[in-house]
Order: sequence, then structure tokens, then C-alpha cells
Amino acid sequence: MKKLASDTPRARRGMTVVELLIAMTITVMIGLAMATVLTSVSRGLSSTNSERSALQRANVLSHRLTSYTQSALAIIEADDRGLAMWLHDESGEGRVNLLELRVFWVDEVGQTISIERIVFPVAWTLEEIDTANTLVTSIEDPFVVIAQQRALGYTETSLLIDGMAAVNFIPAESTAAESSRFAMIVDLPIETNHIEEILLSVALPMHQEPQ
Amino acid sequence: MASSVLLVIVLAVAASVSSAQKVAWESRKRMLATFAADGMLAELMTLDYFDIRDHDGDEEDIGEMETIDGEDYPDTFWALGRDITVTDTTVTDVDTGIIVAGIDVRVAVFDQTKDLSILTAFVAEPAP
Repeated sequence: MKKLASDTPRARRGMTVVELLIAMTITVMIGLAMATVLTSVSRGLSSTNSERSALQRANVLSHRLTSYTQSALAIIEADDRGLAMWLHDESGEGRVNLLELRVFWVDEVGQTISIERIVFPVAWTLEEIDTANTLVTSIEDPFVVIAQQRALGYTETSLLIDGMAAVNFIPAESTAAESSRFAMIVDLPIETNHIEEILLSVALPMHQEPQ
Repeated sequence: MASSVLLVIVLAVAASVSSAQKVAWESRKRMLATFAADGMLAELMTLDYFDIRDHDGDEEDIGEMETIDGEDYPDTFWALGRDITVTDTTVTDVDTGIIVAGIDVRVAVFDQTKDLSILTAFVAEPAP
């Protein structure tokens, strides 16, 4: 009778030390490769999230600034300190009064843009307010003017946006007051030592040069 | 057999990573395209009605965008181009039936394959 292969007891063969070492080495190499891939993916995701966050901040800045510039009359000064804006002409004189002034401060150290405006005490009468609501002449520095009012306690500041490394305003004409358009170059910090530049257009459709 | 399994696993991981990166890149381009389209439309709205018409057909090649005043866009916008279309149109007020003549200003920002952001604004013709 023929013996079937299944009837023959199998010779039990273990692993040699060499085979074991090779298997362990291959496993470790695969593990290291996977760890490297996962680390790279994690870094990539982190970078992508930072970029997205920075662009969203730029988007917020654009929308918040537009809510002012849509009806603003002029930007009377623009430099590395920020923007001084003539928001409206309540007095109807065609000139900038204190209450019509808004100053956007750029803080490169704190990476913020904040907006400051004049707020006179609520207890004041209309006559007192009219008296205090003086003109900001073209020879005066609006940033200095508002700083003086701040020293008297007559201003209010609120944060517009944070996470901006630097902002540069480039007017379309030779002076800010003449310009109805500005190119705003915003430096967005993405990660350590990486800055991304974005250009946002600042447009004043209601532009009117102050007298 | 083991090698094949390993190869399949590696390819699957690589494909998913690549796909996620592509989605993130597209999203970033679209946001930048929105900035560029919005910016140009805002600039055009500061112009006189008849000066806006002069920009009909303006086209900026990919990587060559600049503001209306000639300021170059930074390298971040290297993958984008832009064009402007101005067409005569009328708008009818539904309640009163009044027809208002004007122009449709369309700004489109595109990459090599498609439009990423299109913004349109109607500007009424000024009274004579």
C-alpha cells in the first residue's frame, strides 16, 4: 500500500538564530520606515494647518478692513506705524475732525493691528464735545494727535487682528491723502523662520481728499 | 507574498498622503485666488464708469499679476493669473419695472487648468 504524504510524520524544523536575527532586522527596518513616514506626514499636516490658519487671518483682516474702507473718505497718513483714516465727514466741512479720525496701529513686535478712535466722556454736553472736537490739520501728524488724546484718556482701542508679522502700505499716488487705492503687503508668519507675503488691495470707492 | 503585502501597504499610505496634500494645495490656491479677485474688483470700483470699460479684456498671465497701479503681486501668487471682462447689461427692478443700464464687471482668477475664483459686480450707468 502506498503511503500518502499525509501519513508521514513531518520533520519539525525550528528557526536558526541567523534566521531569527534577519527577521528581527527586517521588522526593525520596516518599523523605522513607517515611523519616518508618519513623522513626515505629521510635519506636513502641521505646516498645512499653519498655512491655512495664516490665510484665514488674512481673510479676516481683509473683511474687517473693508468694513471701514467701503465708506471711508481718505487715508490721510500711511507708514510703518499704521494707517490714519478719515472715516466720515459728520461736520460737513470737508476737513478732518477728531471724532472722524480712526488710527490703525501696526505692532510688529506683538504682531497685531489694532484700531484706536476718539471717545469723549459720556457726561459731556454737546457744546463741550463740539469744542473738543477740533480739526486735524494737514500739517499735524494724526498718530501724534491721537496719542495726545490718549494721554487725556479720550480714546478707545480694540484689536483688529493678530498674527501679522509686518504690514506695508503702498499708496497709488504720491501722498496717502490723494490715493483712493493702496496695496497692503502683509507678512504672515507660518512657522518658525517662515514668512508668507500676501497682497491685499485697499480701495476707497468714496474717496475725497480733505481740504 | 510578504513583500507584496508590504508594497501594497506602502503604496496605500503614499497615495493617501499625496491626495491630502493635493486637497490642501487646491484649498490654498482658491483662498489666494479669492484675495486676488476681490482686490482687483475693489480697485476697479474706485474708477470712473467709463474708465472701468477700458479694462475689458485685460489679462494677466500666471505668475504675472499686478495691481491696477502696477504693484507686483508677491511670489505667493505664482500659480495664478487673472482676467477682466466688462459687458453691457441691464437690470430690471422687479417691483417697479424700471430698467437700469450699466455694465457687468467680471474678474476671474485662474490656474493652469481652471478658473478658481470669479467675482462679478454690476455698475449702473451714471445719469447724464
